[in-house]
Amino acid sequence: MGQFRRIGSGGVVAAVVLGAILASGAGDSRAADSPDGAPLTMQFGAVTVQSIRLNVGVPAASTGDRLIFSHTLTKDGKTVGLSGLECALTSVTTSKPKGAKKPVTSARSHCVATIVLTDGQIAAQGLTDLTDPGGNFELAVTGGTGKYSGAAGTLRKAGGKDKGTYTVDIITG
Amino acid sequence: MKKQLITIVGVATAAALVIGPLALARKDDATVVGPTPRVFDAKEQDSKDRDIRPVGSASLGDEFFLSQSLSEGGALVGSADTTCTFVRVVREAGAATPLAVSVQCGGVAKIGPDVLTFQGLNSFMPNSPTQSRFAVTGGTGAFADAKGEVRVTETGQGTSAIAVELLDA
Repeated sequence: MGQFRRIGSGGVVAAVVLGAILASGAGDSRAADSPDGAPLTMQFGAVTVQSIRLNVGVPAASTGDRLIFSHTLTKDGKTVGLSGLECALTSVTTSKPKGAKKPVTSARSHCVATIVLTDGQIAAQGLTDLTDPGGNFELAVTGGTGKYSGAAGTLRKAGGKDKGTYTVDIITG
Repeated sequence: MKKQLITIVGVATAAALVIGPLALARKDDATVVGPTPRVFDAKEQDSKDRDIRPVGSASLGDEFFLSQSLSEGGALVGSADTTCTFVRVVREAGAATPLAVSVQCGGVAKIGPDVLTFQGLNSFMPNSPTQSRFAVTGGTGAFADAKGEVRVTETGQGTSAIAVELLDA
């Protein structure tokens, strides 16, 4: 639970922003202008809001651990959406390469992610090498709602653990 | 699913949840409300909460599980089973009741011999809607290659209307 970032006095602000995302028509609306079947690329800044690794048994990463985290998505300095992710570690191996001082842990984790924008949701899932929440990943887009109904494509996060960039390449219904 | 949320989030917030709609689901959106969505009446058969520490209030990683029967035109046609995880919990420091929660859910609806899978992220806060939205992510049989969305509207204690709107293949 050590990675849980508690919400302090900013909680009200966060809730207001969340409400604004849900209630307003602001945000990226290019999808509305993109005809069905046309490729669409969207890019957002991402900041980790909350994250946690729920351990099964030992404190170190192990098979069955769950990673849960969320990002606030921004564009031109404005909050335009949010994401939520849940990953389950499906394989964890530790080895000590020849000459290495410390053992190296590698893992596979099955991640399910959903982005919420003002004009719809984008659903994705895939296999990553994450052992802690907040890192980079590449997932398959499996669907969407609203303007993104029937979306297919790729969702990528790059740039590091607690900040980064989301790139969404999709073709809609 | 609201029952589980009510249990976890608390009575005060739960009361607020049902006060009025927020614009998360814009009912006048023609893309969302198609002319002929297939609508099922869902009735809760089983449910369970898994309250991850800290116990007693909504926290990151809390889960709930819901199993529902599906009827269409009064006839039992299948089931829907959904797993949800709290991925964001916004609260003032020290406050028991969250200001807002975001819940990611994945589910499987079995309709006759065919299966439809769905996934979505829905947020709830005071004055939030009683409707949740999910992306259709796939299916089997008649729902193979299915695309579209699912909307769940609470209709009562343990009951809801599930509208499935699929895009033309």
